[in-house]
Order: sequence, then C-alpha cells, then structure tokens
Amino acid sequence: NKTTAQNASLSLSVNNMTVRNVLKNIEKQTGYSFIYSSELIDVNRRVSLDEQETSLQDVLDALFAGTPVSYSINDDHIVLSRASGDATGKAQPQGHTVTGKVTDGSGGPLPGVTVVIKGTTHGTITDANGVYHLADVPANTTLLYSFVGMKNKEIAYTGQSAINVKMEEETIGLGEVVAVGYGVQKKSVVTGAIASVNSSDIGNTSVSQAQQALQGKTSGVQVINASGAPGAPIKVRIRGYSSNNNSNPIYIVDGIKTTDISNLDPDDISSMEVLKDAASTAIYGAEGGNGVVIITTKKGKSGKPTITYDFQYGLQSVGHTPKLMNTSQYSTFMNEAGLISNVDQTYNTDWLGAIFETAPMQKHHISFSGGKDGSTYMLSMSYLNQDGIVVGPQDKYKRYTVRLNSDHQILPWMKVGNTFAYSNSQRAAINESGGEFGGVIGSALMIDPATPVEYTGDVPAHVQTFINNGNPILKAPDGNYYGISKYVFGEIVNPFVTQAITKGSTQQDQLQGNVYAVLTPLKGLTITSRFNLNLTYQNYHTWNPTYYYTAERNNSATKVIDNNDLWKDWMFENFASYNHKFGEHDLTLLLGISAEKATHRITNAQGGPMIMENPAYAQLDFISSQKNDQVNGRIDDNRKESYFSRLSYNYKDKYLLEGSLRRDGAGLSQLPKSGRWGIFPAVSGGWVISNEDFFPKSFITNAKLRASWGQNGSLSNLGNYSYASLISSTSNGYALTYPMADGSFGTIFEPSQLENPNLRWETSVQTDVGLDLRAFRDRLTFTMDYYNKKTTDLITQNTPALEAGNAASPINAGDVTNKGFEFELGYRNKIHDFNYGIHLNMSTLKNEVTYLNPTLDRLYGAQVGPGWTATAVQKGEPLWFFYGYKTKGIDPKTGDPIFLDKSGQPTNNVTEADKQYIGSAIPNLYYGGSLDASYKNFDFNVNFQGTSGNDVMMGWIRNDRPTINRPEYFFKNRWTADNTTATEPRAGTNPKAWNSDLLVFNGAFMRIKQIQLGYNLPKSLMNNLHMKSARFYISLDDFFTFTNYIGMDPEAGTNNNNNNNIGIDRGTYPTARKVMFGTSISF
Amino acid sequence: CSQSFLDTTPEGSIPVDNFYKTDADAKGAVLGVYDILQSMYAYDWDSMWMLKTLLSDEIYTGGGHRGDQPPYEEINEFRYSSSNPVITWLFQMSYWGIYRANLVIANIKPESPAKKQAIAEAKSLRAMLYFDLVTLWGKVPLVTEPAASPDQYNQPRAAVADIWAQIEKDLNEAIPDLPLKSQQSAADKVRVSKGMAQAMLGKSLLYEKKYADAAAEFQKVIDSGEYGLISDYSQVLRKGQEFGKESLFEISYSAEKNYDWGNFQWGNNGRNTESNIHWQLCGPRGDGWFDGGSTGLVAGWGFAYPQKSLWNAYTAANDTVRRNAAMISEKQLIAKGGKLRNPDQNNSYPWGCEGYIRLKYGSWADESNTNATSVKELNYATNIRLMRYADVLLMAAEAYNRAGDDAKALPLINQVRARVNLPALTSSGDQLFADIKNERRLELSFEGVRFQDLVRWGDAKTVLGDQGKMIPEGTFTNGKEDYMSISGAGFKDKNVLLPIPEQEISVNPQSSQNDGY
Repeated sequence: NKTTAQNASLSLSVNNMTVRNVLKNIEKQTGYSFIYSSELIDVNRRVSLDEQETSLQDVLDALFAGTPVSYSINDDHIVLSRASGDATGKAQPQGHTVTGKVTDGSGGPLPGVTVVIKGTTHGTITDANGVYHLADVPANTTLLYSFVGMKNKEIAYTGQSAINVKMEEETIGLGEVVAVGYGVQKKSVVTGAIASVNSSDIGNTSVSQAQQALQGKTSGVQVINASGAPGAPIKVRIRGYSSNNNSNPIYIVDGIKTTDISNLDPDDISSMEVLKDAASTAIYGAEGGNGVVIITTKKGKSGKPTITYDFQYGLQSVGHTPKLMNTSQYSTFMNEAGLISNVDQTYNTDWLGAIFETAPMQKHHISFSGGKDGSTYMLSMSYLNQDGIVVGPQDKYKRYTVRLNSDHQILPWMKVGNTFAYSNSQRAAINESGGEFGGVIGSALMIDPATPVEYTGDVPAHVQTFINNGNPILKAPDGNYYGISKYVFGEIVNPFVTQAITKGSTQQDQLQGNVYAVLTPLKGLTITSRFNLNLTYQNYHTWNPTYYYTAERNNSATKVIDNNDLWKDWMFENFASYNHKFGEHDLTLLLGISAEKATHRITNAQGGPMIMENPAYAQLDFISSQKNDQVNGRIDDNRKESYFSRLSYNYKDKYLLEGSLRRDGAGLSQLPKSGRWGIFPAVSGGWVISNEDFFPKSFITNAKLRASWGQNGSLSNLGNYSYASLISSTSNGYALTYPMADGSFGTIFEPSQLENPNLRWETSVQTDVGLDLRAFRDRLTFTMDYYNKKTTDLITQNTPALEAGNAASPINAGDVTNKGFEFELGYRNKIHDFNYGIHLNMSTLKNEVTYLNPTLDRLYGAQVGPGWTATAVQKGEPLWFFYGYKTKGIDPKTGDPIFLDKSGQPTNNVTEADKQYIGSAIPNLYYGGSLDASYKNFDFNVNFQGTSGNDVMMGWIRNDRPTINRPEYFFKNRWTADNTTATEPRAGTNPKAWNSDLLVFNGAFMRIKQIQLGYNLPKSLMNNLHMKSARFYISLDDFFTFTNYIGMDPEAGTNNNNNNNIGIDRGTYPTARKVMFGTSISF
Repeated sequence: CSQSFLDTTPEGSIPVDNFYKTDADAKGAVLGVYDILQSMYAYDWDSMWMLKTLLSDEIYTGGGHRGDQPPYEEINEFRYSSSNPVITWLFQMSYWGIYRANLVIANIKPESPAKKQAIAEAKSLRAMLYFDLVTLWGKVPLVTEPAASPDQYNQPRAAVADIWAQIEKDLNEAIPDLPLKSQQSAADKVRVSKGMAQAMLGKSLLYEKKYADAAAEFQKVIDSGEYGLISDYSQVLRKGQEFGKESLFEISYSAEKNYDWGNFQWGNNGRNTESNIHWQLCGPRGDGWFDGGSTGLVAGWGFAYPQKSLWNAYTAANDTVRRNAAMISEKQLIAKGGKLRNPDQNNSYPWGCEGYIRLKYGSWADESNTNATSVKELNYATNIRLMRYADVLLMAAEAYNRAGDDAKALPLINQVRARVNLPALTSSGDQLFADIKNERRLELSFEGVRFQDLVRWGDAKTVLGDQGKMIPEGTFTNGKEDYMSISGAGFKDKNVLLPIPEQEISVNPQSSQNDGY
C-alpha cells in the first residue's frame, strides 16, 4: 500500500555500506523503487547511518547530505537526480542530451514529472518550470514520462534535441472496468446506470450476508432487513417496487445465476455491480426486470502467494424496544375497558426485557492466492457463527464456506478455469412467522405484564387445575412452572413456552460453481463456453414435544418431521464477443445462447409418536408406530432457453452507442406454449462531452451524458403450471379424499383452477437519463440519473366473480410505475498524511399503480390479525398501500375515534366500504453516505443509511383480542373522562380503531450503520514479522438509530418475499446493535 | 436446443382433455362436489352449520371472550354486513360445488350406469346447493355450465322462480338414475340416493308452497320403506347411527387422519381436511370452566352454547326426552361429576353461556380418534345430517296440513312424537300447523333448519326480533346473570335474505344488492 508506505517510518543502521545497498534496503522496507542513473549518481559511495523510526525523507536527506543529489518521491518510485545547477561533468555523456518542457492539459508547467528511458533506470525529473534535461540518451530509445494523476506518455527518441510533452490527466476511476452482462466494460464507455461496490467497501463490516454490503452504499438500491434474525433472508429492491409479488433482483455470481447469495462469504467478493437501468439488464431479458446484481469473486494474481486472514468478533444486543404498559397500567386500562375488573398485580413482567440477551458472533476468513506460469488460484475458507439476541439456542446461524477459483492459460489462445464454492449452513430460527398469531416477539408484545415468565412462588389456581388434570405444563430450566396468562388467550403464548417447544433447524449444503473455457483464436474474438451448476440440499428437521398451555395451545402427541429439498439447477452458456477497431471506430459484437433447467425436488416425511419423548429419539426410525406416518413429495421443473446479442459502438471515446436484444423462451411449467417466447430489446447512448474540442477547460475533467431505454421481463412470479387447469387428486401435497361410509377413503379428482391460456410475461420498460461528472482532478465525482420504469402485465392473483366456481389462474392485470432521481456525490482528497473521502447518495422514488384490470377494483394483500386485509393494490396508489379505516382525531365526548367515510366526511356508521388509503411503506426518499478518513496508521469510517416518507403499520395489535397488552403510548395518550382532548382512543374502544390509521406510524429512520476505527501496524514492524499488512479495528455497527416509530424496528417488514407485507411490524425480529472487534492480516 | 426442451409435462395431474372418460373418473369427479360440502359445513370458522344455527334462536356465539370471532357474532346478532367473511365464503363455496357439478354434467357422457348415476348425483347436489342459495340469498346467478372463458365468469342474478325451476328440473332428472339407499354399497351410502333426491324435491316444493306436489314426493320416500325412526332419540346424531335407517343424507367426516397441531390441514379452503374441526370450536370452554365429568364431552373453545329459551320451550312442551338429549343444565352436569363454573374467574360461566351445554352435535370424546396418542381436538368425525327421516315426516305432515289433508298429516307427526313418549296430537288446521312448527323446533334443534323454517313461515321477525340483543357474559351480579346489551341487534325485515357479498358486487358489474344492505 503506497499511501501507507509514504507515511511509513523506517529504521536503518548501516556501517560503511555502499549507497547502492542502502537504496536496496530502503526499497525493501518501503516498497518504493529507486530510479536513477548510475552515471549521474555515485552509488558506490560508502556511508554509515543510524536512523531509528525516521521518516523516509529524513533518511534520504541524511543519505545524500553534502552531495549534489536531489530526490523526488513519486507514486511508487523515487527518482534520484542531480540537483539543478550542478554540472560537474563527472561522467562523459555517451548519447545526446534531451531537454524539454512538460506541461499539463491546460499548458501549465508540470514540475516533478519523471522522465526515464524506458526499460532502464536512467532518468530525471522536471524542475519547478516543468523543464527537464536528460543527458546521455541513446538513439532509438523511448522516453517515458510519468506523473501521478496523468496518463503515462511515451515518446520515441529519434534524435530530437528538444521534446516538449503535453500530458493528459488520467481519470483514474474511468480507467477501471466494470462487470456488465456477459463481459466487462471500461467505466468510461458505459452507457447504462451501473453502481459498483468493491471489496474495500465490503471488508471490515459486520455483514454476514453480501447484500448487506450494498445497504446505503449506492443510490437506487434499497436493502431491507426484513428480519434481524441470524441468517434471515434479505430483501433487495432496485429502483423501487416493480412487481406486486416477489421483486428481488437476480444475482449473477461469476456467471452463475442465483436468487440466493446467503451462502457467499462477503470477504470472497471482489466487486458487486448493480445494474439498474434496462439497457444494462436487458441482456438478462426475462429475468432482469427487478434489476441484476453481478458479483465477481476474488481471483488469484500471478506472483508471490498471498495469505490473508480476517477475524471478527462481536457482541450483539437489542436496540430500541417499545415501552409497554406495566401491570398497574394494564390493570387500569382493562378495567376502563370493562374487560377485566381486577387484574392480579402479583407480577409485573417486562417481557421485552426478558426475551432479549447479549449474543456473540464471530467470523473467520482465510484465503490463499497466487499464481505462476499462467495459472492463478484463490482458495478461501470461512466460518461464521452468529447467535441471535433472543434468549435460548433457538436462533443461531452457522456457516462454513470453501471457495476455489482458478484460471489456467493452457494455450496462447485458450484459457480454462473454474469457480467452485461449497457451503454448509445451519440455521435455527425462533417462531417469527407466527407474528401476531403466536410468534415469539409478537407474543412478548401482546401478553399481559401480570403473567410472570415463571412462577417463583405458589402456582396460581388456574395453573394448578391444569396440573391436577395431568396436563404437561412446561417448566423452566430452574424447575419453576412457566407462567400461563389468565387474561390473554388464543394463539398468544408465553414466549418462553414457544421457545421451549421450538426444536427445529435447517441445514443446507450447497455446491455452486462453474467450469469454463475462453478461446481467443483471432485477434478481437473471444469465445466463452461455460457450464454452471447449483446444487443445494436442504433439510429441515424438528420434533414436537408434548406440552399444555391452554385448551387452544397444547400438543398431546410427539412427532418427528423431516422436510428435504433438493435444488439442482444447471445452465449452459456459449457466447462470443468480437471487437474490431477501424480508424476511430471501435465496434464490439456479442452473440450468445444459453439453456437452463432448474429442478426442485421436495420430500417431506413425518411420523410419531416418538418411542420416548427425548431428543435422542427424534428421528423417524424411533417412532412407536407407523400409523401416523405422512409423506409427500414432488418435483418442480422449470426451464428456459435464450438467445442474446449486443452491439457496442464507440467513436473516439466520445460517442457511444449500444443495443442489445434477447429472446427468451420459458418452459411449459411457467408459461403456456402460445405466450412463452419474449423479446427484450434495449438501446443506450453516451456522449462524453468533455472529449469534445469545444468543451472548455475548467475544473470539470470528465463529463458524460447517458440515455437508455429497454425492456425486461420477470419470471419470478410464475411456476408450477399456474396458468393451466389440470385435474388433480392432491392438493398442497396431500391426497384429496372423501371419507366413505365404510371407513374407506374415496379418491377425488378436482380441477386445479380456472385456466388462463393468455398468461404472458411481466414486462418492464425503463428509460434512464444520466450524467456523470468528474472534477478537480477526479477528486470530486458526481452522478445523477432520472429513471422511469413501468412494469406492465403485472401477474396478479385473479379474483373472479364468486360464481366462477374455482380459484382462477393468475392474470396479467396491472401496471406499476417507479420513477425517481438518483444522486451520488463523492469527494476524496488528501492533506499531507490525512486522507479522507466523503460519499453521499440519495434516491427519490415515486411508486404508483397506473392501471388495474377493471374487473378487479383492487387486489387484496396481507392479513393483519384475523379478518383485516390491511394492504391492497389500487389504481392511483402506491403498491400495497395500507388499507383500513381513516380517522380524524378522537371524539372528545365518547373517546372513540372519529371515523371518516370514503369521501372524507365523519361518519357514525363506518363500514367496510369506507376502508381506504391510510399509508404506504414505500419511502419517497432513501439515502446513505459514508465518511472515511485515514491519518498515518489510523483510519476511521462512518456510514449511515435512512429512509423518509414511509409508514410502518403496528401489525401486532389485533382487534379480536381486546385484552392484549399495548405500548404505553396508547395508555398515556388515551382518552379518559379527564383527558378528553386525547390523541388515542379510550380503553375498550370500537374494535374498528385497531383496523385503522391509528396503527400507522411514520417509519422514517436514519441508522448509523457503522462507526469504525482502524489501526495499521507500521510497515517496519510488519517486515520483521514477514507480513504485508495488518490492521486491527473496533466498530459499532447498527448502533444508533434515529426514528419516531414507537414499535420495535422501523426497518420492520414481515419476513417473506412477497411485497404485500412490506412495512407491517408483527413483532419483527429487530436488527441487533453490534460492538465489533476485528483484524485483517495478510502475508 | 430443440423446442421440446421447453415442453415439460406436469406430474401427478391430468390435462382436462384426457379426463372425464371412465367410470372411475366420473366417481372421482362427483366426490369432488361432496368434498366442497364437507368444507362448507366444518371448515375453520366459516361453517354453514354455524351460519344456519347462529341465525336462529337456538344458540349464542360464545367463544373465549367477546370479539373472539366477530363475524360469527355479527351473524348471531343480525348485525352482519355484505363483507362478512362467513357469508362471503359460503356464497363462494356454494358455487365451487356447483362448478364441479357442472363439470360432471357437461363432460361425462351417460354411457354407463355408473356415469348416469354420477350425473344424477351431480344434479342432485347442484339442486341442494341452489336450494340454500335461493332460500338464504334470494336472487343469485344461475350457473349451469362451467365457464369456458374469463368473459363468462360474471353472471347476472337470476329470478327466484327460475332458480326454483332449475332445482325441480335437476331433481326430477336425477331421481330415475339414482339407486335406492338399500342398493348402495356400504361405502357409497355417503352418496345421494333416490330417497334423498325425492326428499329434497319435496322440501323444495314445500318451500315453493306447492303443498300437494310436495306431499306426493314425501309420500314416495315414506312408501319406499327405506327409512324409519330409531328408537333412542339421543342417538340420532351420534356416530353409532351414521348412515342408519333414519339417515337420508350425511356429510361425512373422518377421525382416521390422526391430525395433530403440526399436520392439521388449515387453509386451502378445507379441501384437505377430513375431520370436523368445528366440533372443537363448539366444545364448551375448558380453561378452568367446563369439565365434562362422566358425560363424555371434551372441552373445546366455547362456541355455540344453547339458549335457555330453548330449554324452557322443551320444558313447556313437557318434552324431557328430547330436552335431555339436546342439552344439559349445570345441575345435571354437576350430577355427572362435571362443572361449568370457573373458581378463578369469580365462579362465572364461560363467556356466552347461559348455564346450559349442548349435547346434540356435542364434542364427544368417542366421536374423535380414540387412539391414546391422537389429538382429540382435531379429529372429530361427527357427520352432519342434512336430511333425516323425522324431518321428512314433519315436512310431509306440514305439506298435507297445508294442502288441507290433516288426516294424512296427523299420523306422521304423531309417529315422531311417539318416539319421545309424547302424546298423540289431534289438532287440525292452523292449530295443527302451529303444532307442527313447534314440533320441528323441538325435534330438529341445532340441526340447521330453524332459520329457513322461520323465514318461509313468515315468523322470523316475531321470533327473532330480539335475537342477539342481550348476550350472556357468564358473570353474575348479586347472583343474577349479567348480559351485554348489543345495539343494532335483532332480526329486521332485510334479514329475510343475506346480503350479496361485497366482493361479488365489486367484481361483477351485473350484480346488485338485496334490499336493505
């Protein structure tokens, strides 16, 4: 690391050593190389020095004290020259002396430019006026001019006596390449909207899943931690919500398509590119509709082997939790409500305090990489062990990964290679999906505070009755009976009981990899053949213990359950790219075909009772009879074949044009024959204005205008013959039977659904206009985009007239538009030893359903509690807005909410038909940013992320369970006879209040994702330890959250892939705050 | 890649074009209609039995507490709106059954006796479904063919007379092709027999007030000699008498699936469910309240407690046999070693209970899976009787009475009374009609016929005017039971029909709402 080296101090103790050897020693310690002419510099001179922990400059000053040698420290080398004015003429020149002046793009002199004869160390540097004199230049050599921030320039020396050079500024970032579909492109000629996150942004964060590394890092990308549980899946939304169902992007990991990257260790990632606009994603055709994330994993480099080791240890704890009513408040509230006259106040349980604990997490990652003779390798292994913050061992995530990436240039025109990743993960999860119907956190929020976690004294009568009846009442590990509520019934159970009966865990083994050959038979032609395989075996194993909580919650028979899933996906891709340059024209043509098959075999088995109720018998072999056995299984088979092409044209790096066309065919399991082929075109153009002659010289060094248009499809909501009417004798994996009068079962054949032979692709059309600017020698970068993405033919559930007589196939019934602006601003500079960078991004989003098939007045989404369909899709509103009763304050006379009818007028008789828009979980603004700084051996970074304009629904307050506990907010602000100007209704109000906007809260939040302080060991020390680098850091991750939401976590969202649940907090697992310690060492 | 790479074939299912060919296909397809009936009557918290019974003066909703199942409470108190999910779902599921029947009728060719029988059953079942639709909702869409394309999903509401005409036509066409009950195999007694179709036709004609024609149909059932009354009234709905001589048609449930809390088939419209989960819902509330003692009843979730007024009606009629078979008082319960009050909750009754527990369609331990390791609550197998011979006799008596032939009416009603040791009636004319009405109330309590009876007699407003206005809270003040007063409760004129579901009206522009909703 050069920056570090420059700051580094070194130690040198030599006695009577030649300057040549001293220079070598310095080279070794600092990583710099010296450039000098032995004709000009007397390196055989012997010196004695004793410098300890001295800066490089001081060492050099001491070394050359009293000699006419001057030096200049450059990017990675130090040029030694004779101080100007000195002309001892000690050595006889053997060639000519070349002089000249070096200027920058605007004609100003450039001092300090290194001028060397290429291939030698003979050189000099320019003086303050940009003038150089280089003696002794043989003819027919090449002079190399280099300067930080400028492009290297080479000039052939053919005897000229003066060579004046104008250097061009190098746009460092633009020289990088970014991954695009089926290839890479120079950033400078990219015409799409692509955001990059590289390994340095990913490393050192406490992320266990790669998607989290995107959070807050780039505009247009919203990463939603729907659940903070260890190993829980993460939702990524690129440019809004473009489907009513699943709108996760697809991930292309080294060419392998997948929808799940949870088994990819973030430390293995070299870069992630988010393809946002249609022109970038259209090459993925039918599956690019929700955006594409291209992930490139690390590869080895030729040269000395590198070993890196990363370690993290962290402590996680719960952040903000809502304050709930205590027993005394609960008693008052229930009494006022007329529900419970006298709450037993023996106990006052802080359930949220009781169910969370501090939990450790740790991660190790080691990698070996290197290469020689045309072969490179990267071998890595990682281990993650994360315990969840809910008490008990029920939430835990463990993951092992192994990766081997290698490349072999076996012939001058042929390279073969592979990526290979194996992972094993084990995830135990608390009952979270139960939400307001008995989820652990949901129950902790709803159960009354008068019930204890466990009875420390006498067991109350109602529990004694159960015990006397011989019911298996569960005990805590200390032998006390767990508390059983006297006041809150139904699915809501003491969360410790729920934990005690949760035994399951999911184990996954995954093998993901590919083999490929890249042929380059002709100049400009690259042919790639690649076979990708994704093999995943998953087993969910659990057993049900017996227990009794209430008549509604109990289990009298043990059972063992094994659910097995085997996914086997392969994809075979062949594509060729041909590049041809003629004159100033640069043309690249890509043509390719691919075929893929994804099968999913499901085998589920269960049986019981177990011979003994003991975990040792929790296998299907150890059950007492086969009578209760149940097995089911099936296989899903989805296929696709595709043809794709792309033509890129570039004139003088100034005018850029690109077009792509893809044709995809889906298998019959997804679309009917008539509609299964789709064509997805895209075009884009770019104009690098700064390369125009008329572009004025200014602080702006690069300016590019981009525009694109394209189409994509989405298949993610299709499958399993959803368009067809088939006759089936099973449903949901169970036989459809009718009990006959003699005890036998008659087989039923039923039509699966009403068919829809017209079902077709969901298609999104997106236009994008963007501007990229770089200024102040690329210290400032700015990108802005406007996009308008319209998804048509949304695949929606059809709700035909009730007399249609069956469930209907999905139909293409709606359009949704996402549009917005995206801004990214970066600034990076250094002041002496202080380096800093700031990056800010911001995205606006307007999401609106612009069309809905008139036969559906709205689509209904998620249920909250029983009977409240709380989200809907309707023309003119955002997707899955919150749907319920609208209120306008509390009636001072009655304490009930004043309900509004559909026209906004207060009404005494609010009905179902008055339900309307009461909020939306889709933010209209989301943003992120980071600040990083380093000074000498220390570095520091902060990054944050937030949303605004979004609402959260407190979905755990059920209107059918009036005796549940509530946040203190509803107690303190409630209407009473003494407080008639309240904001919240009276205790025991009309249950419709709990299907209204009273449960909708502002969900805006800002979260400091990380504050990290790092320290790099000094270079000198590392040399002694034979290390390349070593860094230690501490950080606070997800530690500070700013929000007005009074519930659990404003990032809440029900933990499933369907968009129809967004923003509903049913007692979501909160994101844990983490204190992390880590180290990263490389050899 | 060739085109065929994409041509996957579905596993485990048959394209529609290849089905409806064999006798087995015909039977499997028609059993699909029975499956819908099975769902409709006992599926989670949307039961047709509950709907019909809650609409009567026989039960209170009950449950764990007020608001446990608001849709049921709304029905019990005549406060339901067009978005009531129970009403919506049952309306919808009726058409699911009709769609399946229509598929059988449209696609099966009557080429063999088995196929003819399947078609006849489909027609009978379609008629039974339309019978409830027309009597509960009035003008409903009359769909007799499966929709061929999405533009046929929306159908207009048909005239009531047209629906009755279709019901009569279907039953008249079905009867010749249906076997007598005695001709059915042991297994097939779940299927519609000739007697059931004739009884259903008689019932339809009775509702249409075509009394003479109705009496003639009922007489055919009586004359068939296929049916009779069993001697012990308390057993008429019990497991031991399933498909017995008094039974014309039952919806069948099974305890053999061994459901537990992990594998119970919630959801999926109940099509996977084979047990009668409603009996768990309607078992008396445990949790410190109910203990069955030696009665054989298992505690449940506390819905559908009987009303004290029904107890009083039995007592007033001196009808102790049927009273003691239909319900049990707290005193009787204690005598059997059970209890109804919760000492931890101020010695209250369970919510919604007036001190009586229902025995007819009770949560009998011996009607669930008796295997020790089986979860009783989830495996009730009590069949629901949609037609039994006592009902036929009383409807026949009513038809004769209304047609002016009391001489034929009296022996029929007296046959029913004789079984329960009640003296023979000798009344005539309107007095006999009134006696028949009361006899139906006492004989057929909790069997889901009361509401439709009251509406067709024009008595609903008189009898149900106060229904749901006072709900027993289970607690006592100064020894007197507390009642919750419900505003807006009670039968109103509009309640002669249920509302057309909101969902139907919003989706189908050809639909419209019943008066008053």
